Amino acid sequence: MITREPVYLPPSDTRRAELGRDVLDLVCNCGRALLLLFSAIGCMRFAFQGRSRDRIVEQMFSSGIKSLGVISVVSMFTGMILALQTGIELRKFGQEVNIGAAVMVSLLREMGPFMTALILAASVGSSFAAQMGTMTVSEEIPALELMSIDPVKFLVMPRLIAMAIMTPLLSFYGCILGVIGGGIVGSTQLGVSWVSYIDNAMRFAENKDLYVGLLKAFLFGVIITVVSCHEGFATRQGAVGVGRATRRTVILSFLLILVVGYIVTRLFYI
Amino acid sequence: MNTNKPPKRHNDISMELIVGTVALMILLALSYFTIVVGRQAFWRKTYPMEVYFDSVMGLRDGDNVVIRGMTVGKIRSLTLVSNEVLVVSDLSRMLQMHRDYRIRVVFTSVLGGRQLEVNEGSADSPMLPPDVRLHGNPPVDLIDDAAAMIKDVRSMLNEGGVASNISATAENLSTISGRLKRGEGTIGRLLVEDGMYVQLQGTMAEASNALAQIKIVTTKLSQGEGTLGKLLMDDRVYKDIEKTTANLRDLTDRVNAGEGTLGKLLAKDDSMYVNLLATSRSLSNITARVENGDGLLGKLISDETLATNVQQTIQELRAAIDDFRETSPVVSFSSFLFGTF
Repeated sequence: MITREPVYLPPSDTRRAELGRDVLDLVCNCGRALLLLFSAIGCMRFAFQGRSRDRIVEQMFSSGIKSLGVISVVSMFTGMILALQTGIELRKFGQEVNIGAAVMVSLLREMGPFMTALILAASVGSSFAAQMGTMTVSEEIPALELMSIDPVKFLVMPRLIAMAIMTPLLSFYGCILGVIGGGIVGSTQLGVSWVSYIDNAMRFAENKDLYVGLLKAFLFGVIITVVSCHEGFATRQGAVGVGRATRRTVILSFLLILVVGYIVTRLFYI
Repeated sequence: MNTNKPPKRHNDISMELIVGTVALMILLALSYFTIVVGRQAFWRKTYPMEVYFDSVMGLRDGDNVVIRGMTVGKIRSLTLVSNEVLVVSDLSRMLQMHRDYRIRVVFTSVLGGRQLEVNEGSADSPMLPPDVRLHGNPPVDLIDDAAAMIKDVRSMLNEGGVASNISATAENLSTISGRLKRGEGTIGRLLVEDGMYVQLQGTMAEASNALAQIKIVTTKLSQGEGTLGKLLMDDRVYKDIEKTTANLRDLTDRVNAGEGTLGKLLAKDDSMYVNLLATSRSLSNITARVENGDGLLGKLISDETLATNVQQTIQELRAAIDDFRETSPVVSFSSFLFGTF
């Protein structure tokens, strides 16, 4: 069974024993999450069979298209803030024309994937966790298993594929809007023309920046899905457990996004 | 036919359409962006150029190749070949290299970044054959140059006497400021003594008055008052002066040309002068003889008896002529009468 039955253990005698139990629990959770990921990858061979394709499209719509609005606003303002902050400092040296490069490179490398992932973790990840958690506490997951429907294939795999596809696309979309926002600030408040802004941005941007950013976004999408589904399946104790699972999903997703973001940057840029 | 699969609803189709449209649009933008950022030129022909360097100083794949500041290509690859570095670049145009060509690695800015700078050489230099092996100049190391410059400045300061000069100048300045402080010299007194200041103030007041007078004069001049003002402001005076000057010039030209008496007198040919000299000498001689009483004229002037006689003779001659006039009609009539018969 994918869901976890409540395990009642005697209270720990010492703090060291309690700490050891927490570490063991953490390792078990990591293992379960990875196994869930591998199971979902294994189920991808069924992606185009039956109604899986429809479920994938539905998840792409609900997690990707419905997030376009908030991602548009956040990305554009992120680009505007970046342009304004760097432009104010660069203006002291008469180098405000270089805001194009600063905005473009920072968005492609880090800010685009990072902001998109945070938005998706907070909106889509939490909804995944709440949905899975509710299904778990209302015994719907065991019911699916009883009906010989694989919950991973039915619930996790479409979400994983949808998020793995939509997060990089949304990240790139956010980068474009951020660059446009930076251009608006540059042309209206810093006296940098659109032509020189775009020329400067394109001169310093590299394909490596773009694709490393997309790789990060892909990994962030996978992390959000796995963490949210895992936490959903691990939900216990009714509505309180659902709320706790949602909160844990957002926190864990944020932490893992930061850590993985750093590791990928370290791998490709040093 | 799969009867288990329920027919698609309208909502499913619209959802698929939206997802597909958004995904395709973003993918298209991603592809375009990849091409633009990667500066790929799939549809343009490129011309490879191979250059050998002793050192490339951190030049990388993808760095720009520039000619006279214009980007004409990108570095494709860098390869170590024995003790040299082979740099292969793709250019957008074929380069015609001359014998005095120059290729070097330069910094794009003081903050870093490098590019390949190509100078094809001067047009009057002979062309190189197309298969010639091109060699790049050693790159310029800004840090080495800066270190050399600092060394030069240091040696100039220490050995060239600049430091001692600065020290001497500072000492002189200190001496001057000390003298000023003690009230020595004109400026020192000006700083210390009030009387000097009062004198200076009076001088300044006088200067101010003088300036006011000058201002009045210049105002009058500008208004064309007085002779000088008219000279400055009235065109007629200027024209008169111009005309007079022209006449003077004409006169001097004529004198120079030897025209007229004055011209002949001033001419290089001194015959007139000689004649005048001779004439004046003759006149002098004559007047001397007259004064000495030589000749009739001299005696007339010096001898009063002769003068009286001459005067008397003239009077008698005048009387004789008058008589002749009176008798001439009678004589004429008698002559006519006796002549007829």
